[in-house]
Amino acid sequence: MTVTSVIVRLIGEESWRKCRNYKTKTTAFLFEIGVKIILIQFVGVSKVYNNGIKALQNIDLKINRGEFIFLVGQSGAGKTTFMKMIIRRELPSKGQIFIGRNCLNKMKEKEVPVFRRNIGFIFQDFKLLSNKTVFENVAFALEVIEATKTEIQKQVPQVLDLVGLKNKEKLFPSELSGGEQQRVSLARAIVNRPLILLADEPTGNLDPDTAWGLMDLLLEINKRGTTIIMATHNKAVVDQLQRRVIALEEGKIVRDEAKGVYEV
Amino acid sequence: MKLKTFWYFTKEASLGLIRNGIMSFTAVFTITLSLVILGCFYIVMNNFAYFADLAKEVLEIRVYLKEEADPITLQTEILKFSGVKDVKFVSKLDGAKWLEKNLGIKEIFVTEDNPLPDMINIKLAEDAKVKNLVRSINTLEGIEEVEYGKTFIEAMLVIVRIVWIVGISLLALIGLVVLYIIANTIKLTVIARRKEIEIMKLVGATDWFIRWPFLLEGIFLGLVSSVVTAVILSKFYVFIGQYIKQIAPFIPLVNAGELINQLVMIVIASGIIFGIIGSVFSIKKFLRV
Repeated sequence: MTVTSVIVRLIGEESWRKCRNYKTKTTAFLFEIGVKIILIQFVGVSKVYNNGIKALQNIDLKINRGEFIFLVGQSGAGKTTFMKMIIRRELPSKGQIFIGRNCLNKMKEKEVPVFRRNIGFIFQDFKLLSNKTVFENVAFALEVIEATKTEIQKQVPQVLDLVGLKNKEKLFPSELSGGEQQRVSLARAIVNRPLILLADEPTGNLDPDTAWGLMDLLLEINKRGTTIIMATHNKAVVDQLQRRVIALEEGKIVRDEAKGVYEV
Repeated sequence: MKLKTFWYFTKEASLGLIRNGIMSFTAVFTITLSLVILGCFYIVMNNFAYFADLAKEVLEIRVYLKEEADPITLQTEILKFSGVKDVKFVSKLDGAKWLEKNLGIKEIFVTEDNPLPDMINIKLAEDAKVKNLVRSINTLEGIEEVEYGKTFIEAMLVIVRIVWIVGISLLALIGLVVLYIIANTIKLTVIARRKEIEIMKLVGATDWFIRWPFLLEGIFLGLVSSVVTAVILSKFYVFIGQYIKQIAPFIPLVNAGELINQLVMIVIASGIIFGIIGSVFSIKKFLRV
């Protein structure tokens, strides 16, 4: 009797299949039986930019693996800085940030690229390359981490299928609608199966119906085990989904509720 | 580096060059021009140095001795000075014989009252500092007079020095200009692809992965320009060489083949190095994401 078969018996065939998307079977197992694993931790984090602007002040926060989090707050409240810190685009002026086993303060510059491969991102303005096709835009994320041609040929169609763009892989971004472009950017973000997906106002440029389409996709990706942090101004989405809501105001956390609503 | 990655870099670099075609052409043109000027100076400097060397080689210093001087001691003393290649003692009798033979006369100088002094001929080494040497010789006992092609050598040495100083300064200046041009050309392609670089950084590309295509672009610009320069300069030098031989055959020139070989290597190496440094500079800022 193998360890795998014991686990499968314990958690059931279906749960085990879901676990395939996690980085390791052990953490997947723990996650499945309800053990919370801390993925992101901010300890007394403050950020003051060179121009004196206090973007974040004394943030203490834990985010578990597999959570779906809405980050709300007015423009300039510190949402983007918060996200930039997770991908280590900015370092804290004070305090420490831990992502998984990594302490970002102590991370060496040359370790950053490999670390970032665990994090996907999507933006309000999609950030697609206009001179590359849909397929090439998604493959780009794999090419730069020097994936093999076989991997690219296998993974890109899979992920395009997931976001519902299977037939549009030869089109250029300019030939797509806003919703479709955002889905390409989502495909690019998840193609190398990141642990964390950061979404900075992903529905900001989309009409309500398209926005819901994107949200369904994000929920599906979250179900497969990716932790999602989404900064948003979309009240309808936040109120209806009832997920954990972290509200920022002037760089401070003013509210952190397990099933929150949008109140700014 | 995987072969696939290398092809990816080459593809990206060629795309960059083609997309900014006019700029690439302008860069090649300007770099070539600068390198040609650089090369011309190199040629001129080399020829001057060559000429000066030749001049030194045929040059002798003549030291006339007093009656009471001891030629053997003096010879050993002179040989000790730096810049002295060889010494040869010419006695007053030898001098008189040589003179009579050359003038076609007999028994005027070769007599008891030979008026000529004893003499030491000094052959100069290549690195001879003539002025200092003459000064040192004059301090020795028993020296009547030191004779040398003073003005000619001095003028020659001054010219060589000026040409070197001007040449080196121009070399540095033109080098900076070439760097600036390459850096700017690459910067334009970098700016055009800023978004791409940002995305690459965010999805976890290493800095070197991003840098390579731009480096290759820089190397290519440098290489093309230097090859064009090498062709222009070698044709030019051969042509000028023949022309000078016709109108002034007595002017010595550095052997064309030898100089051109050196020149081609120097120009190509500097073109490539300029390309690398230029592109490293221009991309640095954009990698801080």
